[in-house]
Amino acid sequence: MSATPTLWPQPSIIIWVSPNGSDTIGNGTTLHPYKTIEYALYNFTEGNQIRLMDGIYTPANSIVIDGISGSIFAENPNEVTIKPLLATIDNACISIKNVERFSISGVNIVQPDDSTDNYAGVYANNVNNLVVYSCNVYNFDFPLTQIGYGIFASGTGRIERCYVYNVTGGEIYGIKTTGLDIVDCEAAVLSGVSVTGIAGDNK
Amino acid sequence: MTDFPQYYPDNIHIDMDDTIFVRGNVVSDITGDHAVGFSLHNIKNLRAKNNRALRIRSPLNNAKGFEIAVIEDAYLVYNTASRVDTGFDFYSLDKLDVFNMTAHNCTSCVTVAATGNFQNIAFSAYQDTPLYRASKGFVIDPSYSINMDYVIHFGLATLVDGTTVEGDEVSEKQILYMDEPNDDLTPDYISELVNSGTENPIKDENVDIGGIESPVTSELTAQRNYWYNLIDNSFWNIANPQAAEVSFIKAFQSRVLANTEVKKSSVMDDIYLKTAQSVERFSELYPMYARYVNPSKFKKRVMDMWFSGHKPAVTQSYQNGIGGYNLLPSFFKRMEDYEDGWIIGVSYIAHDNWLNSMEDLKYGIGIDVMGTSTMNQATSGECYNNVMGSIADIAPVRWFLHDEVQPAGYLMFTDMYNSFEDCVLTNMHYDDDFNISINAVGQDGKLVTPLIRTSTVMASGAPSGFVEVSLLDRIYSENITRDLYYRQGTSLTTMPAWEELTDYIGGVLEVDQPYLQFQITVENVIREIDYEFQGIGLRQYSSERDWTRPVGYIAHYIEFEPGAATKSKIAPPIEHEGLLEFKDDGVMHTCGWCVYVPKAMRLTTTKIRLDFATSGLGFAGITQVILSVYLIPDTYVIAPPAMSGTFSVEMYKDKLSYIDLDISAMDANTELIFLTMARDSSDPVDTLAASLLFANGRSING
Repeated sequence: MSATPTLWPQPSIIIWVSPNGSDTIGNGTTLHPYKTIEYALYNFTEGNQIRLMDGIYTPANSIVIDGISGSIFAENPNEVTIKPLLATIDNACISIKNVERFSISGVNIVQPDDSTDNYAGVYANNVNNLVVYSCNVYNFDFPLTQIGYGIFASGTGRIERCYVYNVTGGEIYGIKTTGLDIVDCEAAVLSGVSVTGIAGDNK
Repeated sequence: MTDFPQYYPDNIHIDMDDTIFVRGNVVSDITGDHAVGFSLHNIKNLRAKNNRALRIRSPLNNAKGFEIAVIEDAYLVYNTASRVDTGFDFYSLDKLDVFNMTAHNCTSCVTVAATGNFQNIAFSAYQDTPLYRASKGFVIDPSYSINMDYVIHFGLATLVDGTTVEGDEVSEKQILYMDEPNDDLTPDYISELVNSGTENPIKDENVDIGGIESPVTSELTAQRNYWYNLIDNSFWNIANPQAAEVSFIKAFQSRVLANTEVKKSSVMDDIYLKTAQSVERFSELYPMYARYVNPSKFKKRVMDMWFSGHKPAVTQSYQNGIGGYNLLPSFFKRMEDYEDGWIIGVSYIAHDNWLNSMEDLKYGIGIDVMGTSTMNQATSGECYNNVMGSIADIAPVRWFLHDEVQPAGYLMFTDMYNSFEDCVLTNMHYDDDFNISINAVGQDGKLVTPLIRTSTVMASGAPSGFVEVSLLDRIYSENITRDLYYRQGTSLTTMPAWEELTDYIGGVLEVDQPYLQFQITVENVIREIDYEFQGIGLRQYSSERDWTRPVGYIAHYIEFEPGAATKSKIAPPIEHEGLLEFKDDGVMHTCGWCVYVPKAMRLTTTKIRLDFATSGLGFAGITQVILSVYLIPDTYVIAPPAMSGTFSVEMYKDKLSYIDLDISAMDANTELIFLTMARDSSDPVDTLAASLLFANGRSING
C-alpha cells in the first residue's frame, strides 16, 4: 500500500461570523460568532472555513487570502453581501492568491461606494483548486483607464454558477479565467468600450 | 440552514491535458465598441457546451457571440448565438468540430478561418428584422474549407460564402421553430402561433431531410410492424399533439445527433456515445427538425431508430421521447411548480396506452414530484389520468439534471462533468445515420474511465479511505449483463489487474492508492443505444448506512405475465437496481431497490405516502405484498436512528395504490430510502402482479 492519499479535507475548524456577532466577546462559534470577516481571517489557519451568517459585511478594505487554503461559505446562499468600504488591495473586493486550494461560495460582492483603485470584484491569482461557486458580482463601475473584471481567476479549478451583471467601464470582462473551467455562469448587462462577457484561456 | 457540499465534485480533476470546459454559460446584453460574448482562446483542448450569447451589440457592428481562436482541439456542442453581428468567429484552430450550433439573427452566423466539421447547424434570420436581413450563414476564409452536414436555415441572404464540402442542407420555408415560446430565441410571431394553437408549425409537411429510407438491416429482432402500427395508431391523434410531437421530436433529434456523432468518428468503434447526453442537451436548443416530418415520415424514422423487439427498449424510447432524461418535455410539471414538493426517486412515465391497455390514455407525462397536495383527479387531473396508466422507473440520483445542488458528500463522475467523454465502448456502431451494424453481437463491450486522482476523492471516517460506489447506468435490453471493476495504483503504467465490484450500488471500496480507475464490461449489447453509462457516484462511506439485503435477494428481473403467475421471465428493467422478484414456489421472496433522494428533496416531514402502480395484474386484479421500509439518515451530517417497518399494501390493476407511513426520528438530513418488497404469503397465486411500474413518495403533512 502506498501512502495515504491526500484528502480534500473537511474544514478543520468552522469560524462563524455574523453582522450581529462580536470580535471582542465572540469566539467564532455558531452561538458566539465573530462580527467581522477581518477578525475571522486573523484567526484563519490552514483548512479552516469562514462561515458567514446572513447580512451585509463592510470590511474596511479588500478581503485578502494569501497562502492559506480553506474556504469562505455563506451560511445561506446569496444572503450574504460583502461590500468593502475600500477595495484597494490588489484592486479587488476579494483577493485570493498563492493558495493550493480555496473555495468561496454563496456570496454577493458589491463595489464599495468609494471605488478608488477598484478594478475587480473577485481576484484570484496563483490559486489551484479554486472554486468560486454561486457568487453574484454586481454593480461595478470601473475606471475607463483600467481593465476591469467582475471575476478574474488564474490557476486551476472552476467558476461555477456565478452571476456577473451591471458592470461598466472601459475594457471590462465579466469573467476572465486562465486555466479554470467556467460552468453555468451568466454575465449580463455589461457595457464599456471593449467588453467581453466570458473569457477563458489556459496558456 | 443550508449545507453546502463540502466535497464538491468539481474539485475533482481527472488527468487530462490542459482541457478547459466552458459549459452552460449565458452572456447577454453586452454593449461596447468591441463586444464579445465568449472569448475562448489560447487553449489546448476546449470543450464548450450549451453556452448562449444573446444580444451582444456594438455600434461599430463588430460584436461577436463567440470568438474561438488559437486552440489545438476545439469541440463545441449546443452553443447558440442570437442577435449578434457575428455569431461565431473561428480562427487559428488546429482541429474544430462543431455540433448543434444555432445562430439566429446574426449578420454573419459563422465566420471561419480554419478547417472544421460542422454538423446539425441551424441558422435563421427574421424577416422582420431589417438589421439582419442580409444575414449570411457561413463566411469562410478562402484559404480554408469546411465540412458541413445537416444545415438548416431560414431567411438567410446567403448560406455559404466560401468553400464547403456539403452534406444535407435544407432551406426552410418558414422561420425555424423553437419550442421555448417567448424565449429570446423564439420569433414572437411564432410564439403567438404556438401559444394560440392556431397553427403549429411543426405539423407542416415538408421534405424528408434524412434522405435515408433504408430500413435497419442488421437488427436481429423482428416484428417491426408492431411498433410501426403502434406509433401510427396513437401518435398523431393524441389530445395534445403539439406537446407530444415536440417531445417525441426531441428524442428523435437526440437519436439523430447520436448517430451523427458516432458517424463522425473515423474509428467507429472507439467512441462510446451516451445518447442520454444528447437527449439532455440537444433537444433544448435544436428542435426544428420537427418541421421536416410528416406523420408517415416521422413514424418511419422513429421506427427505424427505436426499433426493438423488446418491450423495455420500446418503453424506454418513449420515455426518452417525453423527456425522460432531461425531465423537461414541454408539458412537464417541473418541481418548481410545486412548492414544498419533494420526491423519492424520479418517475418516468411513458406513452404506453398500449402497455397498460388504458384506452383513454393517449400520452404520458413525467411527474417527478408530487406536492403537498394529494394528487387526485381534481387537483391534477391530467397528471393523474396519465399517471394512472403509466410506467416509470426508479432512478438513481440525478440531481445534476435538475440543476440541483449536489448533495453533500457525493462525487459524481459523468461524461458531462468529469471528462468521461474519453470512455470507450466497443462492439457496435452505426454505418450511417440510421443503419445500425453490429460488429459482433454478443461480444463483450468495455468502458474504461480515465484515471481518477484519489487525492480529491473523499475518504474519511474510520478506518480512513472507504468510499461508497454506485454505478449509474441504464440497460435497455434484457439480454445485457454488465460488471463493474476497479483498480488502484500509483500511475497508469503500474495499475494492477482489475478487481470486480460485485455490489455496484452502494458497494464499499477502500481507496488507498493515488489513482483509481473503473471499468464496466457489458455483454450482449445488441445496439449501442441499449446500454447507457451515466456516471459513477462516490461518497464517503459510513457504516451507519449499512443495511443487510434481504434473504432471497437475487439481482435479476422477474416478470409475471397477467394471470400467469407460474411463468417467470425477464421483466422490463425498471432500473437496473430496481429489483423486483415474485416467485411462485410457495416461499416468500423478497426483492428490493434503493432510491436516493436528492438533497433538495430531503425529508422534513413526519408523514409520507408511497404510491405504487402495477400493470398486468392477474384475474383478480389485485395483489398483496409486504413492504419493509428503511429510511436511512444521512449520518454524514447527523445521525438520527434509522427506522424500518413492515407494511402490507394491496395493489390494484390500473390504479394507484399507496401506503402511508408515519415516520419519526427523521430530520432534514435523511436522504436514503431502501425498500424491500415481499410477496404476502396470503396472496393467492393466481393474482400475482406482473410488474411494479413505479413508486413515488410524497409528503402528506398538512
